[in-house]
Amino acid sequence: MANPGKNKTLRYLRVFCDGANLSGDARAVGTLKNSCDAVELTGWGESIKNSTWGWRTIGVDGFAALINDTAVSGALTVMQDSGIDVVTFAFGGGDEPETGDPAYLMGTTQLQDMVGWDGQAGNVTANFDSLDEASNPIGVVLSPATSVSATTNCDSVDNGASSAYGWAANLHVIASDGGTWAFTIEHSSTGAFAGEEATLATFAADGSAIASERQTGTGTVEEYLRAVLTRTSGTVTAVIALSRNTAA
Amino acid sequence: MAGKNKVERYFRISFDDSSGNPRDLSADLVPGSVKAGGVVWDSVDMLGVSDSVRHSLWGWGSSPVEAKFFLNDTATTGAHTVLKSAPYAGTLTAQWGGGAAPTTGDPEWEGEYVLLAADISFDGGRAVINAKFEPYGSTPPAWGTVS
Repeated sequence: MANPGKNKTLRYLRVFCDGANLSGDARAVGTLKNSCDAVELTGWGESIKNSTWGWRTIGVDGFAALINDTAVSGALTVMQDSGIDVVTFAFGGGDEPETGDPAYLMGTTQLQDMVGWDGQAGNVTANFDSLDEASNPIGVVLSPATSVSATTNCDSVDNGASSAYGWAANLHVIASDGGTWAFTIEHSSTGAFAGEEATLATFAADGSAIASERQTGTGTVEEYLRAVLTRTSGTVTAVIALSRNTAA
Repeated sequence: MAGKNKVERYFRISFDDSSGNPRDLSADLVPGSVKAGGVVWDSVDMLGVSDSVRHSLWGWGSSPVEAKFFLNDTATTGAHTVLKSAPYAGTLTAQWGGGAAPTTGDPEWEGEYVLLAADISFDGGRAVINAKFEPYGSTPPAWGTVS
């Protein structure tokens, strides 16, 4: 379970791009953007300029990883051709990210795959812009990068008061032996998950291959969340994160 | 205590969470990162061609606040927990203690601000939130004292 606190360091930042964990090749990241334009509303009769918020900017600048051409999982293999669609950054608290740890997630258009040198090491750099209308990239890890071989109800997460503005969720299947799985997210107003819960999201990916998927939805998200990995066969590693949209 | 004794160690900053509850964020404030308090007035150039010395009048004032906070996800009070709901408006209060934590009579800058940005970056290996605030509404922030 997550270890909340003032303990989030670069050492335990993990990044999942489509169906790959690129953390072993990752070298640097710039800003994970979450800001709104300042729209100035100052009138002549006012002394101090005052503002409200305009459009939001979501995206990641300057993600750099080593040139690794290992098939399927190497950073160059994943990042070349600027084809990444689903990105999740997970912040571990003094350890590998766990269920409940903060996450920054987005559906993205990868804007570049420039190659250069970092201390004589070849690296590839990407910028990610937001692809969809989900209004908030700040979320929470619901299923960490842990291999499972049985149906798993991940730990329940108290994600704060219920909200009414919809949600977005990312799935990264980063390891699979070809078995079949179902991936869902449930929510509950009590956190009991004793039959009162409802399904919030159902991913189409079945875990039989490396994959990624982003789902979005409207309406209410209850206070408590959990991911459920339902096994038909095999072993899988599936990272799931969710963010709640905000009113603005 | 009044005097030439206002040091960063005894600076405190709080901002409302998205439900309007004031939250002291000082324990998560990265040292040296905060810019808060006071106004910068636009300089409106009044120079005429035949004047010899440039001179100005004041225009509108600006009073942005910037600060970096640790990405602390402690429930209710951690800076990440408080600020992740950006954008929203609330009361921002900055206080300067004189040789001790701020107490009655110490300088205070307070007003309604909108949290426009909560970008995340890494500073010295630490995950930090780069918060940017601008004054919000027609009542300007102002100097006062801790009550």
